[in-house]
Amino acid sequence: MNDPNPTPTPQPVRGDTTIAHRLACPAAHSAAWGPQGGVDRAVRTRLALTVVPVLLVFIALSWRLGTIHIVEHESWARLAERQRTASERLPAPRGPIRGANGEMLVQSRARKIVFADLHVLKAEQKDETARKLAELLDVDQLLLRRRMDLADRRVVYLARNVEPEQAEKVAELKIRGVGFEDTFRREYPLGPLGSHVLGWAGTDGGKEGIELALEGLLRGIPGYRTYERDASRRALSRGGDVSYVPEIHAPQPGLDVQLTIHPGLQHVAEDELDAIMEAYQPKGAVALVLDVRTGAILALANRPAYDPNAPASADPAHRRNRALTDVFEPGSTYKTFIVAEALEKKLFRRNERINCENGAWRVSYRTLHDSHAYGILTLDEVIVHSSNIGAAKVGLRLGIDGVYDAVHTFGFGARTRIDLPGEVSGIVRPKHKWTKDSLLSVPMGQEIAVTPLQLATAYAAMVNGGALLRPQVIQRIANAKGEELYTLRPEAVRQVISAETSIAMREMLERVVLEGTGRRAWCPEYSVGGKTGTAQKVIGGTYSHEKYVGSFCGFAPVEQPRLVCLVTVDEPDKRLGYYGGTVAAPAAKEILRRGLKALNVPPRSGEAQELAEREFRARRNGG
Amino acid sequence: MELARRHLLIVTGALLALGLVMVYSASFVVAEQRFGTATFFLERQCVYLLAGCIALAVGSLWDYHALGRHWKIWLGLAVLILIAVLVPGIGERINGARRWFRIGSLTFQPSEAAKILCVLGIAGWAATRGEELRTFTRGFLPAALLAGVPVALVALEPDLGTAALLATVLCAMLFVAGVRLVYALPFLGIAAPAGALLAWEKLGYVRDRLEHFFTGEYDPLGRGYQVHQALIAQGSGGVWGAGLGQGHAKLLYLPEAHNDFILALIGEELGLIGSCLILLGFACLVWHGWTVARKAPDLLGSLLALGVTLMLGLQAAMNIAVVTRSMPTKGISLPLISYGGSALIFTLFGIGILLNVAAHPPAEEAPRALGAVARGNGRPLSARTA
Repeated sequence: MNDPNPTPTPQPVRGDTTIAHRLACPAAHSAAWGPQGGVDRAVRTRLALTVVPVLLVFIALSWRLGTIHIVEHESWARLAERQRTASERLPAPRGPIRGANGEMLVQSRARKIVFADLHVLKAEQKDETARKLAELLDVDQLLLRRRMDLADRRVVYLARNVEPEQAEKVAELKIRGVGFEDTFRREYPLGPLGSHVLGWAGTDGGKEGIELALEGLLRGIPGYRTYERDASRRALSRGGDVSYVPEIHAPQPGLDVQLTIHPGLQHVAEDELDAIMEAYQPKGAVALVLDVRTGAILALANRPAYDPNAPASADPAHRRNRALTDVFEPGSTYKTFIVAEALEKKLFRRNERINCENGAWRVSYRTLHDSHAYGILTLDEVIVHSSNIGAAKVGLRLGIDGVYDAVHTFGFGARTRIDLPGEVSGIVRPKHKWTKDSLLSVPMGQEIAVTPLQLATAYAAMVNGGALLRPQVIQRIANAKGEELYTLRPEAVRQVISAETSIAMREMLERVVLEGTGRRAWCPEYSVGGKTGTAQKVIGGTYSHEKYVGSFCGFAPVEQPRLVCLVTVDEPDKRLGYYGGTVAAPAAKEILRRGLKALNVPPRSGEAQELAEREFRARRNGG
Repeated sequence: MELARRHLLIVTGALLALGLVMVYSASFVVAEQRFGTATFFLERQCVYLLAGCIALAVGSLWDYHALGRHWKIWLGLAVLILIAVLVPGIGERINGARRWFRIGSLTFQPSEAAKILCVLGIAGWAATRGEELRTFTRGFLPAALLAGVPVALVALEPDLGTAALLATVLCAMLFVAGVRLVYALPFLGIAAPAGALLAWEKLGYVRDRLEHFFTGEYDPLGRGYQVHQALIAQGSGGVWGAGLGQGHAKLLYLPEAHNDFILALIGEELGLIGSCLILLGFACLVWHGWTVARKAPDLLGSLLALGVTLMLGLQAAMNIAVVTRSMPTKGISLPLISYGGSALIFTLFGIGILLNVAAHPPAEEAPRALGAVARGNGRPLSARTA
């Protein structure tokens, strides 16, 4: 306080100390505060020493601000962008599956998932929310309430399969913390009809049948929507101050698949199988209908079946597509191929007489039997009466190479390459393991195992003029706009027999129905040909006398074959009937008859029907 | 002085106005979410601002000499409330620190009051000691005691940021007044490391923050989350900013966006321009505060002006340093801008004192023509008539 020029200091006056006076005249009371001429140089220096560093710090901070705002701007902006944008998946509807005439067999319906965000839903609202939702969604209230207490999750699904209108009602409640998500539900409006062809799809895609085989095409491509969100991950509302430009990539629906399956025909086939199940109590049954000109499968039915709307509740064995996955020894239906091969190789003439040894023939160490004793039969009659001994003699003349060819040319032992999953190739022993014994067994349909599909496909080739066609189930594939991407074209695998042989086989097989083992397949409206089979099942290494597979493979009309129908019946109750001609032939006839009607193939005229009937009766009485 | 006074008022007003706008912009989302009304914080801040204006008026009208005379009362009051807040039942504990009084829905932070009370008290004490201040027993020792007790009490809350700020400001005032701080050196040599060690061991949060800061480890989802979000906000604002109200940090990304981290939001919405304007505003306040201190008529005025100026400037600097990750997180708000009741009121009271001092020019500058001579009683006319 060494002021060089001290100003005169006013002395405080005692009586002057009212606040009003101080406010009016503050300096009057500054006696204690030293001279009023300002602070001295030393104080000013020290002031500078304390204040200037603060200003320097400010300059340093402005430098730092500049670094963050300018130099590091881009990287921070990128982080900001990343943390506030989120994308939401927009599910794509799965493509529909249709029948041959465009009937809807499988479709996807828009549904809503109702979920609760447990971070937003208030604890005191849970009870009421559960009550209201239980009422609207028809779910158990306690179950809902319990889900809301799952502590380890933030989002819990309350209901998965809610109709949009119901969801709308829930949305009107405006409960904070209850949200919706789009989804699609796969529906099979016809229930179990055609279930083994269609298969089924779960939430994560196709599991069986066409749903699995065409998964990539049916699935569609999900879209997405980006949006801005706040730190609690909620999407920003569109209003308000915050600019909001969502980016939307629309989902692409799956392709539209049309099958060759004819729902009406499928229905007939399934009805017939149900009747068989009822009448003969078998373990299972298969019906297959093929268009012999294209290889298209018009009906494929298995029993037991299941409802693809509830696949989880079905026994997995019931979901098996037995027509493709199960093999059986075909038995007598197989004789046809040996005879056809023998004709094709011109080793036999049709009217060649074959000694059928009166029903029992000792050859090497075994004795072959026929169900009825026959003496001399022509080649045709071997088929008509299904003589084992006759077939074995044809086999012996063909030799190992010939019989083996008859197996392979017709496609046995190899997959048919149908567009359905799970197909097996059947069992054909390698040629070097064949013995002379095989020459007796294979012609009567033993020692080889085939799938129903292989058998039906081979019959189609035999009657259609000799072209083995790949069986197909996909008629047409189009995109959602209706543009066609694929359409069925018949695919010939190979020519198995000549057209002449094919005609000969048709005649032979018609005689089976007119006068042989397949008489129950006869019908007045259409000419039907076919062959029965009654195969003993191999149980524990020997042929069972209790368990059979009865089958019938028929075709119609004989003059210009259109359909092949195979019916196999697995282990019918022996007391009720087990011959293929008994258990399978009537069903096959019915399927063919109604199938041809449905395809508008003109039946015989009334007059021709009467004539045919008379001839049928005459032949039966004569035979 | 007149210029300084006018500028101080204008800059203060501008910062307050900007602060009000930004508090609303920063808080409407969180207010809507927590209280259901977007203007919750804005409304309160307006009320505080009104109270602050009254405090400013009181501070600027009530002669600072009268304030300085009662330094014993101010220091005593500061110590009293700082002790009271430590008593369980009176002080409210939030996040492990007793820093608040609660009266109904109002909270009051005694350390905010203590800051200005200590400035008043220390200035009042130091200005009357004269040459004694340079001695050890009558200068340094009482000074250390008078400044040390409140600082220690604030540190005990614990509120180390405010304690450091208060200690720095009080030391600077004592240094300017003439106390020889060299006496503190041997003491600091022993006490400072001991105190630091104690803080390190006892106060987990301090260690966490310091460790986190000094290791330079980036832990954007853990303890570093807030600062990380602050940097994202500022950095993405760029030079010009996203525009008022257009920021994203307030969408619950940046906690305390309307409070300690409001500068980050300003940086995002108003860009580097906005942040620098704030910085410039505070620089302006410090500059004019310095002018007032230099030209004060007496040591008391000078010390008061210095105390208030440093308190403002240093607090702003610390806050900006934290928000720009130049310093570990401290829990210090940005004066005049951040949301907060007691802080705003006492800050404005301080600025009122600054204006008060500015209203007293040194004697030479007093307008003699109208002054002492005319009155004829030897007293100068009130400087405010100038």
